[in-house]
Amino acid sequence: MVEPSAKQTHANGQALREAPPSLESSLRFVEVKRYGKLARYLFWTLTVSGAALLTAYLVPPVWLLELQYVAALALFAVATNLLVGYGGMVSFGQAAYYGLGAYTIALAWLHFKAPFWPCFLLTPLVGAAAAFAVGFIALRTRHLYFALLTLAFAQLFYTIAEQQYDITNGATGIFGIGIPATLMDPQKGFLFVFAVAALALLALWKITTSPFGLTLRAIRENRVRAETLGVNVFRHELLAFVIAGAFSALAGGLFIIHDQAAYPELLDWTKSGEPIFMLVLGGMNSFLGPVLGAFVYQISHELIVQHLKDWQLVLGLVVLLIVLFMPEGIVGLFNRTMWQRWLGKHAAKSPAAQKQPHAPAA
Amino acid sequence: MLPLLKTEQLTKVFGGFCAVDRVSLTVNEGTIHSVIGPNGAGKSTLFKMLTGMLKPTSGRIWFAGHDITGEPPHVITHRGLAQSFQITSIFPRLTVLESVQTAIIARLGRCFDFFSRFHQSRAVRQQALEIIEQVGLSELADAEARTLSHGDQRALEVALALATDPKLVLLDEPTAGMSPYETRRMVNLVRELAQKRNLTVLFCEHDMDVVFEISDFVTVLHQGRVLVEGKPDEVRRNETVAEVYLGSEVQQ
Repeated sequence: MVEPSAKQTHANGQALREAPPSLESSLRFVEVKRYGKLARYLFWTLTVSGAALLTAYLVPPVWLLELQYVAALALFAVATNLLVGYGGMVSFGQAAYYGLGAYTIALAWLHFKAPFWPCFLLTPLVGAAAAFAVGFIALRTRHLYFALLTLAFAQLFYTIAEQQYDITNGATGIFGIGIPATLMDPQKGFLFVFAVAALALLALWKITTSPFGLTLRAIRENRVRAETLGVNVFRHELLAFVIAGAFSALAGGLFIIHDQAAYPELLDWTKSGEPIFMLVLGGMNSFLGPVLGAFVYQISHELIVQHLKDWQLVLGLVVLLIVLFMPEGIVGLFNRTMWQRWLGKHAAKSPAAQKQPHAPAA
Repeated sequence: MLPLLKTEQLTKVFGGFCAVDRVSLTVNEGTIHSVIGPNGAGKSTLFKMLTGMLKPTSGRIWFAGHDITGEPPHVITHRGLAQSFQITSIFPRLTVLESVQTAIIARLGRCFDFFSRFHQSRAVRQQALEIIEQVGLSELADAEARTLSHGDQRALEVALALATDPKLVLLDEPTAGMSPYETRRMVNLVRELAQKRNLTVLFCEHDMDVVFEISDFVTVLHQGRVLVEGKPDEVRRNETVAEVYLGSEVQQ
């Protein structure tokens, strides 16, 4: 298969080649770059903001409040998926950063009557700092040990929040946190939360499609190999952990707009389980899967608890079914059945199957 | 010819067992140098020390004028010493192109670009596709690595090593488990790369035909020590070498 290629020049690999595969793909790339980018951005901006405005004016206020919560959870789930889905680091302690985001605003309000905005902007920084400290220790381990260490640190935060009554109001929590009046309005509140979540998701999207994201996936696939290619694996994973912590904390800040309250349960391990469930439900191999998961999870939760006390029972059954039959989540269901059946051709042939093995070229 | 890689009295002890025993090795620039020896001779341990995967018990390693003893693998890679693994070590769920792009951005130190699409830039893509073509995988550039045949995965291994733009490539049994056709292809590839890219290649191999065909220099390891060194013809004629190879089989 090694063709006696024409004379080789590889001055820093910038050489120009006439061979078809390279030219073809680079042309395709130029095309996308020239016309696609701006149009695509415009299209998505208009679609997303249009959808948000429509939602804000059509959906009744009670459900708008619910959707605020969904947006916060969706951001929380996607941030967690940066670790679980992209990085292969299953953290069972992401609630620590989510709760910390909420507590940042709550505590500053409780003790100093601090204004909302600076505190809200501070949440990702607090989350990042905490994630740095925890990740620095926890990332020296892997797999189960990593999961347990992250869990242990989260429980540490939980215990502090629950027992330091003088500082945090203990198990009672902090209620009635003052936020700007505009945000109390369900419509405006929804639009704000939605906008922040959407921008944060855009940032996360850029991160996952950047060289950083590609390297993160490579580490997930084979950390030893990544290291021998010159990647500083520990630093890379630590950075991913910090980013996930920062965005989780921002999600916690958004929760304050929805609920104006912070209580220890926000830091609890069951809260850490929620984003993991959402990303499994929606599909961890796609970027927006966890968003879909968050939506389905929270809305069905609201609908089911109206009729049935045993929400946990339903949850357990759904987890079981997904793990057994839909390992790619809801998104995977779309990919597998609908696209393949209707578009037909893409299914069977992977590029590798098309190439005949051992066809001597020369 | 200048020595590119040099080890001095390199030793690795596991518990009470001396896997590599005072090995002093010199690999000259631009040569294909092979390390052979029966199973358990210490080849893999030696290679792991060279790449930083294992820390030597004693002794020093010099590469391109630097003392690299005890440096972590990613630092050694950046110095220009790349490796392909004995057991195929690739990124199963990345495509061939993505895998090579990863290697290139790691070399260029752009792993921490958060918002760019540098790996999709024209320069990087073209460089990646060029390397992929060199190892003969152009048609499979968009295939996930796990769907490749064994021989193609080995070729991808080499592509990954090349993408780090190395001065020296360590190939740990590049033809392990290959069919005769695939072996031939790998031999041609190694030879072609050594010539065109002016690479220095250090490899260990079980297939003696391959070794004697493409090596400029051969080192024979036995029980962790250097037994014989020399040109392929000299080594082939050496009686102790034949003895070791036959003897070890008789003992078993």
